[in-house]
Amino acid sequence: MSAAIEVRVSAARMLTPVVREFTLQACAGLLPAFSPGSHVQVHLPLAEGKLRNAYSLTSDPADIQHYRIAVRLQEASRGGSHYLHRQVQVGDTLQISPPANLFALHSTASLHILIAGGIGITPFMAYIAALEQRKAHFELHYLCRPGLSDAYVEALQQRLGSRLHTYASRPDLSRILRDRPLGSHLYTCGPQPLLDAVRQQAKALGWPTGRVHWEAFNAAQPGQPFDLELLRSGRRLRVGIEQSLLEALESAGLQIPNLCRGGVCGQCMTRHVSGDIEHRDSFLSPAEQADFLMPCVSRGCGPCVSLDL
Amino acid sequence: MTDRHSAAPDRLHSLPRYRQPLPRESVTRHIVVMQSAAACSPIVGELEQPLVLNGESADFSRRLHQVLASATVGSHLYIMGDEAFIWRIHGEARSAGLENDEIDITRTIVGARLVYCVHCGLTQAAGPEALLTCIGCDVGLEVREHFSRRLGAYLGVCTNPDQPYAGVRS
Repeated sequence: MSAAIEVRVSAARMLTPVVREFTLQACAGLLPAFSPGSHVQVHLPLAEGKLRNAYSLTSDPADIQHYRIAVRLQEASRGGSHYLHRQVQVGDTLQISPPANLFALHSTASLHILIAGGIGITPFMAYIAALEQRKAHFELHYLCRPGLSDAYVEALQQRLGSRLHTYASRPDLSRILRDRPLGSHLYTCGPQPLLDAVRQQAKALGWPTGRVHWEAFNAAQPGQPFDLELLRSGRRLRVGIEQSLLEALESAGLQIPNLCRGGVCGQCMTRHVSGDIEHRDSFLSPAEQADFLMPCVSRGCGPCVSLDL
Repeated sequence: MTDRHSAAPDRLHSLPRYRQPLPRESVTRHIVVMQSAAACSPIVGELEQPLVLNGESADFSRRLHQVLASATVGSHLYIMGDEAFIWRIHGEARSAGLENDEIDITRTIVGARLVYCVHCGLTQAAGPEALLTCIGCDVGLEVREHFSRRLGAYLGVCTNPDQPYAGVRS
């Protein structure tokens, strides 16, 4: 894994009562280039231990003088967004991982249809900058609550005009997806029920899966504590209620490759040998889950899990 | 995140794969393109209201172009014929915006295949034989088991670098 980058918060502002935007500059040297749809992991030194949350880069990929991220305050979360909203000030330094992209634009598409729900607008801000530079055809369907989760909506209205469609409640997806020209690709980002509805509607209208691209924010959810046995090293660890299995491994000094920390990228796949597992990922097939788990989101649901580590 | 379809395990390796089309749920338009009546596969009878284009008809090229230009997402294309025909139509469909998984190719006729000469860049029709002389540059070519979907052709490479122009007899 590449080393973390130290950045300074050069600006911060509230976009809505629950969304805070941060502008980040490199403390030394240049920031790495990134492609639209990329995210970074922000390292958060909370009192309960280190947490890493993934945030999409919203800034223009052509401008790497700075990065921008927008963070929604999640009340029922493990405290990462709380920390970024309440603790971090302009001038503070943060550690971030280099950008990685699990939600890239499809370069040969002739029409890009973007469907965002709430804070799911973030990757599309970078998309829009890139699509405008490429003079590509695109349209944005933005489902948001006025005055609450409608980050960037005014700027988008001015910038996109008739290419922006906003909705205060779930739109008729079949109208968006029906009778689209052959070169169309669909991208969706937002809460899981929206992603499920979009994918289901696309499937019903004959869209093959290769034309439908999606990004969920599945941060690790808490669960029962359990013991961990590492068979190769013979070590035993404890995974706490609020801690993910991956975080427990990391705090014990193990380096597990990972990109999304949300059960979708497949990087942290680990073989399990015994113990009952609650699989919470969207990556492994049921057959694969018999032998592997994704420690970023999945947990043991019995007293002990042993891993091939 | 992009689902794993983009890393589909059934990707073509060095040779094209042909298979009988599978029934597809929720396709909104079935488009059948056959080289000739003789190339028709029995699957056509099972499709719901297919649009059928026959390569033998007089205005075939114009109609194909029209159909592809006006097709929408949800369409599925079935191509039937020999290798040279299949891949020519496949190329047109891909540039019209169809994805690989929206196209079923069925080789229903044993006929010509295309060979791309790596020395002069000419793509030429050829039979099944493994050796031929390039009609563009006269180099004796061996046809490799290596197929380009983009070109719709097999790779032809000089069979004897010491005597490239000696010609080959197969």
